[in-house]
Amino acid sequence: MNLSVKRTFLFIWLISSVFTVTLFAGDDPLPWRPVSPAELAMKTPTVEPDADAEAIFWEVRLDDKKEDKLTFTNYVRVKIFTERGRERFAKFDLPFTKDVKIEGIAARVTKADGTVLELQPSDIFEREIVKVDKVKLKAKSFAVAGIEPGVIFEYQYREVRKNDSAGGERLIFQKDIPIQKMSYYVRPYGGRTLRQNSFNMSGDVTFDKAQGDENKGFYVATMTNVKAFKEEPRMPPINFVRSWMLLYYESFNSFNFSIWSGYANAISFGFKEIVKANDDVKKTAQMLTAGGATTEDKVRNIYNFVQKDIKNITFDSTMTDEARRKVENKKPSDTLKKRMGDSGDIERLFASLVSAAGFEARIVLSGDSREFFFNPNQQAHSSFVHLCCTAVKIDGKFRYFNPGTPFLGFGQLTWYEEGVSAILIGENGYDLNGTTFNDQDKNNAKRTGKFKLTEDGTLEGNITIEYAGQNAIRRRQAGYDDSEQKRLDDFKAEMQDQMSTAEFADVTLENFADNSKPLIYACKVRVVNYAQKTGKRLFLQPGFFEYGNKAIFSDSKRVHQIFFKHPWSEDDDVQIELPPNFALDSADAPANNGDDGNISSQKFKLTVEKGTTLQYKRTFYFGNGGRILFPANAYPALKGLFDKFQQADSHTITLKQKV
Amino acid sequence: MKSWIIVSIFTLLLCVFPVLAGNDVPDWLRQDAAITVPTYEKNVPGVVLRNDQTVEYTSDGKIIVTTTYAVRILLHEAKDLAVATAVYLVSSGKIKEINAWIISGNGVNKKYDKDYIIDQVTDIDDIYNEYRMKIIDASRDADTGSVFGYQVISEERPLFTQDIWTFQGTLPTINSRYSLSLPKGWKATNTTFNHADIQPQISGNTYSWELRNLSPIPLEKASPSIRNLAPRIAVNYFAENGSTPVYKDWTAVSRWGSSLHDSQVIVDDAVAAKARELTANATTELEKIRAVGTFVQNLQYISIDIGVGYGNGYKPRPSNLVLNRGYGDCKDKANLMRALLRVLKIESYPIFIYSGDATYTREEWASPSQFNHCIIAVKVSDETKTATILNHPKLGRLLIFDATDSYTPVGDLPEYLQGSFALISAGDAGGLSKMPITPPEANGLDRKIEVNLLATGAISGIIREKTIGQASTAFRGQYRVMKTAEYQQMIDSWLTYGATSAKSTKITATDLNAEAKFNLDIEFSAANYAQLMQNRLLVFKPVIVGRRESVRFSEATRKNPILIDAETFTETVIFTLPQGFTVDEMPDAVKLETAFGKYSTSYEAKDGKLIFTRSYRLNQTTVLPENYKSVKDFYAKMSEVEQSPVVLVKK
Repeated sequence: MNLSVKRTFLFIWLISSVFTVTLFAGDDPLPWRPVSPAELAMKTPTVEPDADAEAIFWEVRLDDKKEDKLTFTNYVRVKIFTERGRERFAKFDLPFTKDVKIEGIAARVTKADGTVLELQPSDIFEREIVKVDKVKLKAKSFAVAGIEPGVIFEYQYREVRKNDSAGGERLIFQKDIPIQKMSYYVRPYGGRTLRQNSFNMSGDVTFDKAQGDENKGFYVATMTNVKAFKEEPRMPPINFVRSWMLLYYESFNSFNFSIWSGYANAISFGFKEIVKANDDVKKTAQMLTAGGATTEDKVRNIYNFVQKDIKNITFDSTMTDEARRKVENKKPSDTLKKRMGDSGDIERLFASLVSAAGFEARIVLSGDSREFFFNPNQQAHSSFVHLCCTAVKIDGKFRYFNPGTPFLGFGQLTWYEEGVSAILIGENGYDLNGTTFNDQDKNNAKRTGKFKLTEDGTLEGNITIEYAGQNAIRRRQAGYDDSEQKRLDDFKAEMQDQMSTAEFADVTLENFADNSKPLIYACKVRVVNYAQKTGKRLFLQPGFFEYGNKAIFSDSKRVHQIFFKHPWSEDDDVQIELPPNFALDSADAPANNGDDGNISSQKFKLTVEKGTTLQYKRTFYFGNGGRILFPANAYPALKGLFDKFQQADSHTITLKQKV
Repeated sequence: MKSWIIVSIFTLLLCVFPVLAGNDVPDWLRQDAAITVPTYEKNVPGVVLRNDQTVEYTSDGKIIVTTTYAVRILLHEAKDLAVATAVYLVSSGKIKEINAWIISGNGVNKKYDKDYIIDQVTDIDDIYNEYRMKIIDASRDADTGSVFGYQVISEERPLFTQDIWTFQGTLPTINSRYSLSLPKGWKATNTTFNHADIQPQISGNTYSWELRNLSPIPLEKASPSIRNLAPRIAVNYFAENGSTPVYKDWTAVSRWGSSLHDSQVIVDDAVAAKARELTANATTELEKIRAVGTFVQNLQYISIDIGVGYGNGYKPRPSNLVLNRGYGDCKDKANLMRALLRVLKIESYPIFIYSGDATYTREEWASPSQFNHCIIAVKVSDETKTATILNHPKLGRLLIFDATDSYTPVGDLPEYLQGSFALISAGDAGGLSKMPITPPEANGLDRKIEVNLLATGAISGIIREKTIGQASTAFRGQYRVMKTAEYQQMIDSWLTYGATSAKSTKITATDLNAEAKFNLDIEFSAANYAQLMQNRLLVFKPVIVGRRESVRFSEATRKNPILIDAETFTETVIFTLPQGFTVDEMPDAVKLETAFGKYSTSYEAKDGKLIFTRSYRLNQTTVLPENYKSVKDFYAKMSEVEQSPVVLVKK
């Protein structure tokens, strides 16, 4: 098994341990602790009233005493209340790989009358889930006999991980069911000081020395009455809202990786080598910048060169994996010479060229808003940051560039790297900064439609939609590996999803490969019964582009904060030629909307030209000032605001048949 | 639990990069790659150049199966077609060889040898399952114009001397062939489905069935499954001297089923005590069956596929063991129910059925291979009356019940089983029977809405839904699967689809499971439902919420038949109109009547109220594709009518 596969398996196993759910010292499980009459008699949950199952206790022991292994011992007691709860615990798969052992599996069900059904060794199966060459992923699996609503279900098992350490472990306190008492016991490796960093933990939860002889050397952190974690639409990244703890050992080597300066200094140490330029690189930098009138032009020339003239093999789907592996670039000059490289190679060549051209360049480590809102003031850990992009100082200010991603234009970043805290690392140290954040005007959708309405309510015409900023990036990212036809079909499907009765034809797409321009879709549209007809009137929604849109928020309650990925804006221009036998009966524009803080705005203008053509203009934005994260208690106001937007967007005007 | 396995498999696919062993491509694949294919519609993702299976039955009862397959990829997005898959049973089969090759669009060839083989479970959810598969995934090397081919040689010991061959999937297929070689003194016969009779070419003791140039079969909504669209043959092979018989009729299959099941009905003290405990308060036969059925349905379902190669896939575990462990699969549940009923002196029989497509099982081929599910037939007296009783010529009145589907109670049957041919396994008296179809009125939704409309356009009111039969099953399933908060979110989402800003203020769900009914009351309100125009007109749609079915036909043409399920829906909405407003305009009443269903609406303004009704009734029908327009128009008209507004004017 090669190293990458080993790492992969370790990663898989680390992930899976989050989903799996055990006390003891030998190969056998520890004796069961007695179930109390009160636990047996429990009829309703205590932590959350509508829980399907509730853990009475959930204990995990991490024993890092020995250098060559880390042992997790799990012991969980759950009360089952409903069929859904039974379903959740009816069967178990405990995955493991070559370097992991699953031992001491035990489970039992105690019925309300005190009858006990224990898991039999013959009920445990070892399954080989997948095998590739000599690499295997296995699981120990079992079904739980006698599990039903009203019972107490308990299980325990031990995971022994070879050559692993408690340092870097993420301890998840909030699970998918509510827990009366959630405890992590940790016995650190001798002589090392174990620290923890808590996230979203209610109350003051810290590790304290555990009491009792059986807990010698262990520290314990306990959280009580922990609610189940539930996802909600438009919520911040899960690690920002769920209760968890990061364990780490205090560093004692020359680079202290428990503080960000440790990371930064380590990278800074090798910075020179990363961006090292040979003569070819220097000459190329000189040539590329020679024609630039401004600093920005010069950097742009370099950006365009590495993005367009160097083949990006990460995104080239015509290359096989073997062909990709053969392209091994050790230095930026290798990438330049071969005229190809992966995203990282292109990023390094860019940094090398701008440095060679005399600009101050920095490697940027940033957070990823899909995973976590990175805060450099918090405990350092490698999982909080990733190599984001290159910062170049232009006219005294750092700007951020990611030429290694072909669908990102000059100065663009993906939404999850925009406006996040970042560490800018250069040859002489590092700075803390924030990446740039594009406002709503940059993330614009310009939508125009020219239609003719017939007497039977059919609307027919042409539409054009121009997507800029994140709107375009998202589409380019989703479709970069697709055929032209698939991109057109996807657009059609997106429109069809909104307007199921509409027919879209002759769809075209411009500028997909040119990330400096907006993406432009155009097509013909025909919607039968777009306007509703009664005996003498036609009812028409002039806001064509919002026709059939569903409410953004439908839930009446909210637990987590509300998070929008980025600000956005829309400019709609719709012209509708009215049927000759109908005259406007009511053509009042919908009321303008917005909030007092100017985070959002929705404005309309409705005019009639020559009595025959309706002109409808709508401008909308949301997230002004970068305000895209809202506390949970703002939910009713936010929902109310979006309801108003939708109400105004579906505003209808009346046409009356001429007498 | 599933997520880690998916992550693992996916990651393995990405991370294992074996060394290339050689790039030789067999001649047959080169020849296939040179085939000129017809021009297909632009959305056809690929064309199968060769779909070939050669089966050699050996005198020791084994079969050697060689599968040879080649596909040309026509769309960039269809790279996933370049995957070879071979399923095998650990207990009775093995894959002796699997090789794959690709000829890429630019002429570069590649061979995928054993280093590329992924061997994995077929169902990650099943913890007791012997089925595995070997996969070679070449999708990362494939693109438009690539030709991917593979050959699999497997060995197994078949349970039955019968086989099924489907000539194509959804892709167009240039050449498809099934070939069977038999020992001397053996013979083969076949039955053809979904195609004119296909006769074999016979050479010595080798039989070959072949079809060429098969058109693509598009996937269309409300369409029969591909199993009932693609040409398929069922083959029997047998020794002419009768030493290895094959099922000659359904009675023979019934006897086989009884031999596996009947001995597993074990009544011990625990089973007897449970039967008595469950029916302690039951007075009628139906109540007893219901009590037992409900108990069995609610046992934990765990699929158990162990010893399948030896026939255990068809054999239940002993009933007393299943009761003791508290879990089982469909045949275990049916078998336990039989044991419990036996204590109560009620006779019953297992039924083998195909779950998922009521038209899959064909009468003309007697074979256990046509089934994938087990339900139960309970012999009942005349006192028991339900819509799911079958009058069997030999066994009398049989109540048909699915002991696995916990959302469908005794007296009802899942719609995907209704009307299906199924085997009642009752020894010499058993055989194939058509399962009952419940009438449309036994499967419907009746909705009554009372709404108070204010002059501001705001509404508040109550929606009362009463469902019966399979309509109640869908409601019951949602209610039981979702947590309370999720259920409310679902209701709110449904409300806001029709009325922006609508929210539920109270939800009362009543699950009358025993009666196959489910009632749901929703109190709700919505600001600005009606639009006030020029301060004198109030415009609103009388359809506040959707019909709870979302079939829409927008495609211009149709190739496959359209399957319509039986269902009824009635709705009455009573609006109390705001003071000072009167109805100025309302839509005309509509009446649609077709062979497959009818739909009507009506509007009446009376005493300050507007009464709107709509109803439809669909009959279980298969509409031929040439009549597609009538179905499309029917649904389009319903949609159009339901968008029509009512106009109130200030007096």
